Amino acid sequence: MKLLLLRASARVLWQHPWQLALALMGIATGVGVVAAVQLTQRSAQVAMADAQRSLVGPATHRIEARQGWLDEALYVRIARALPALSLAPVVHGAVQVGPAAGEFLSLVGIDPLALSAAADGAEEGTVGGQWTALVGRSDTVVMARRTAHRLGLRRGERLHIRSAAGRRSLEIIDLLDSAALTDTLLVDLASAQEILHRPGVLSAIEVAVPTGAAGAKLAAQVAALLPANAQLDSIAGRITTNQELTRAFNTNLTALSLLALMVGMFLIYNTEIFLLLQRQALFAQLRALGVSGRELTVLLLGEAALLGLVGSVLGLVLGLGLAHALLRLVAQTVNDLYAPTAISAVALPPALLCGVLVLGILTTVLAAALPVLEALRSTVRRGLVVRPDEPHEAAQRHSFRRLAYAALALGGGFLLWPSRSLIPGFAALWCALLAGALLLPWALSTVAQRLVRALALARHPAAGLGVRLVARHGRRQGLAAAALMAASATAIAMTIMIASFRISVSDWLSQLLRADYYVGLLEPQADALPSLSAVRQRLAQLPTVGATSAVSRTRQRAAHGEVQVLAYDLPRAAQAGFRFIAGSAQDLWSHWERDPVVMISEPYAWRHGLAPGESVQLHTLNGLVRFRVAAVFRDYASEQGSIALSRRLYTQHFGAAPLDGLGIYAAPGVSADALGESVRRATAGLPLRVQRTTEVVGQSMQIFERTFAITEVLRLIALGVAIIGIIAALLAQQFERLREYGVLRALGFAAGEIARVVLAQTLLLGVVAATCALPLGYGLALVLVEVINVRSFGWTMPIVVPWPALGAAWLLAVLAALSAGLYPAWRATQVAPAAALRDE
Amino acid sequence: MPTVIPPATTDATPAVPTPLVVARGVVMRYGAGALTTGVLQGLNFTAHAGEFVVVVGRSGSGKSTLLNLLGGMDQPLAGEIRVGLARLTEMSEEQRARFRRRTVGFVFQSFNLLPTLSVAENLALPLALNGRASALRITEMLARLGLSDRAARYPDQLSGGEQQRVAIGRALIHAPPLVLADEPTGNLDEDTARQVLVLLCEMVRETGSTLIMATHSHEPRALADRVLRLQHGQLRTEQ
Repeated sequence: MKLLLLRASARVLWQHPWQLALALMGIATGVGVVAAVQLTQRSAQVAMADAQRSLVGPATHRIEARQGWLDEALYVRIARALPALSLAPVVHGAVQVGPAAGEFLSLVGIDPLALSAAADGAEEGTVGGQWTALVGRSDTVVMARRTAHRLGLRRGERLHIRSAAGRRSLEIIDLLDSAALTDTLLVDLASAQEILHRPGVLSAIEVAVPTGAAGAKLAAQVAALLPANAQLDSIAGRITTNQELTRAFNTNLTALSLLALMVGMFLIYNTEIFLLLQRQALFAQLRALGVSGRELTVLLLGEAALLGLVGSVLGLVLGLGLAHALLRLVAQTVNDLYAPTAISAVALPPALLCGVLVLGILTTVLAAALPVLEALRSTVRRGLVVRPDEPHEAAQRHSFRRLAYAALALGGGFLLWPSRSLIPGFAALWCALLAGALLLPWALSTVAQRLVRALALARHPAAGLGVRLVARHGRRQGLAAAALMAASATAIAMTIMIASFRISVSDWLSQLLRADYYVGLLEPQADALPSLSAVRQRLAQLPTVGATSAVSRTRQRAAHGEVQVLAYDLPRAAQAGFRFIAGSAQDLWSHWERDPVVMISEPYAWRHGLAPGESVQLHTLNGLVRFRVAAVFRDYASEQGSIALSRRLYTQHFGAAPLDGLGIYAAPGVSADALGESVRRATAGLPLRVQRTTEVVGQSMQIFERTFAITEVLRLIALGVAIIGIIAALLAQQFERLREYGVLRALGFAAGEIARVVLAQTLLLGVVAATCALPLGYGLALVLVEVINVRSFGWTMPIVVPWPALGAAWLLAVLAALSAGLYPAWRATQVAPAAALRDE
Repeated sequence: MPTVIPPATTDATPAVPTPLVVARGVVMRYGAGALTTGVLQGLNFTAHAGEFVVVVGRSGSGKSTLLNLLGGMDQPLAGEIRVGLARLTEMSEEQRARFRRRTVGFVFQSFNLLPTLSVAENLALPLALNGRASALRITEMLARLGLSDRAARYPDQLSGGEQQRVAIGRALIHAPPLVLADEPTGNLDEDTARQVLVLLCEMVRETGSTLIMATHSHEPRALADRVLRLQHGQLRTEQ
């Protein structure tokens, strides 16, 4: 019997292929976006982990100097003391390729024999297992095929480089297909020391220890052999740390993708109502024949699951395509903000694909459950009398309102929940969106009923009729409009958040960057370059230079883990650039050079619950030292936060640190242009970045814009899904109201007037949805800025409402609704009155 | 300039000087290929101003098709149809829509009131379409239909008889020269059907419209000026 039921039901579906296609499109688009974002994130994570593993092979730990380099004698000492231990020394730095202004590549010197010995069972493509060809040949290099291709080089050709030791020419003896080694040159260890002009020292020693208690014991033995300025770290821990760094970014993307799925849910719900209405007579007849409500429920939910499966498979295909497009944007952000990583291939973990598939099916069944239960209930109530109009719509709107208030209360509860987790924040966001969506049919109906009185049918027959259609049968349109509103409100919330963030960052940068010029190393790993201290000394002697500031960025161990420590040497002008959220500037600067005081960034204070007057503990050369927190400064540079102290205090506790950046202040009466000219002349030929402050700000803002490019794409996709929803709702209405359009044509409505009836409806939907999206979007922005952002990144910012952008968002939503009405309007004009009324 | 078409010589109607509706050699078929069904096969027909013509015939004989063609809702495959000075067969769909709003009133078997409009609004629609909105006219019509207390109700809140009365009011409120009624009493019980029929005939007489009614019922025949039978795609005068 089930087969018979299924056949009877399926035939109706086949008779409405467009509705079926729209339902599948709704599921596929929602699932596709979620799949794309998940696949992109996973690909980025895999690439980051691979990049780490590719260079270290099977290594589990790394020995590094706290500052500067390791003496290569340490390698010999450990190897002798622990002969069973797998060790591999590494030297890395940066070299310039091509002409003087050419690009910098990372140079990594390895000991292939040592790595080979350590790498029994090393993964394919990792360094350790394969590159014995490098041994004993000081003029050879192995590089990624992609990099060689970009530079127009082939195997056997020579690569010309410039380094601290001068010009060299290396023969390319092999090309790798590893994406993780893009822009990396692999050379023999001795060659690297020579090229980087770093004889007798190492950047790191990779260590492979077995897992378990034996490994832990061995690691402890290694640690015991280390001098004070060297430390042993777990590499697995570093990979985790890198992934942890991008967690907040990923969480935000996931939330946005789930929004697209939520908008897709509205579409599924909408289509399901139509498909059920089409078959209401069939269900009534089946019930009359004795089919139980339970059997029909199982049938219909099974059918929804099947639709969900097909739609989700299509969604996965769509998601894969979309993931390739998104990968570029995510890679850009990860490179800009977190770690330089070549992310190029989409990873396809089966568990993730299955998870997305299950999510798609469950979402479809969930979206279908309510209309299915409602349809069966009304079938029982009305028996065989099928009335397409819904007399109980008002009652349903009432229950929607009750649900909306419940969702609002739940959302409020999530916000008040004392938690630092992002999940309650996002749950509150979703509750607000859901409440808005549930209230929209009521708002739409209320506005339409007011307009019914204002738009006299006698004067505006087409528009008046359109408005009356919405007033009387606004539920489906209401839900389609809810999808549009959800998409638009999210867009508005993101717009407000991004605008607030943009202005905050821009203000912060303009405030902080007080120098006229900034000088930095061209590459983060350009440790083979002349030290910035020497550059600073040279620049300080220039008559155009009034003062200089300097910063060293190091990572140190605090009581709770690793932290970025900034050692500043700040003239008075630079001190004025800091803005404090808590604590006293006077207290800080009066003790800055003399006492063990630090300032901590806002994210750091938030993450560790610290306030001025409290203290932080750092592992120093003098042991664990307590530093008083004098102030909390505004900082958008690091999500994890940082501790800043004077360079004098830093040197006292950690030793001298190489400089990472200089600020150059013009002498009185010297123009910025003249200063720039003299600084450039003084640093000519050195691989340094000399930038005017406005350039630094501009570059930072460019990175900022790139970070949010992906959110723009996701917003547009959500809007696209909403447009599909409106088209589906209007087309569904046409199928139902074909006869009415026939009657209108019989009464003498011209095609243009029929189109105006449809467009009046979409205009009303668009205007109501877009208008309701404004306050909802603002509310969501408040949650995003005050809750999600603080919990994700630990920073606060004032809310800025970009009115022109909000006006544009409003107009876009209205235009989206109108454009969604174009095809249905055209279809309506094609209704042949005689055919529509034929059964007369 | 419109052409005056002389009455057809093979017509089932005696020649009268000023025919309002003239159909000549009308052919209409449905379906395609082997499944083609000829509904009207060179049909000729004339109706005069103020005349009440009843068309009878078996189900599927083409009565509704004929009314659709006369009302400009469909186009014949061949032949010519004129209503007043309007040559329907030479008009575009848009021109026929404007023709319908001015010239024709339809009464359907299933009432076909617009469910989204109240009774008063359903009556107002033809007036609005013709740019002749008049609250007084609607009030008068409601009174004439005996539905003054139902003005604000929606169709699904009315009985079948009440709905058909509204449909009659909607068809006649703008006093169209031609009223086409397709089984107007088909969905009503005997008593209600009689009341509705009498109301329709009275109101048509008041406006001076021509009424062409397709029906299976016997009662309208007694009230009609002429009764025609549609058989094998041709009209024959019923004795």
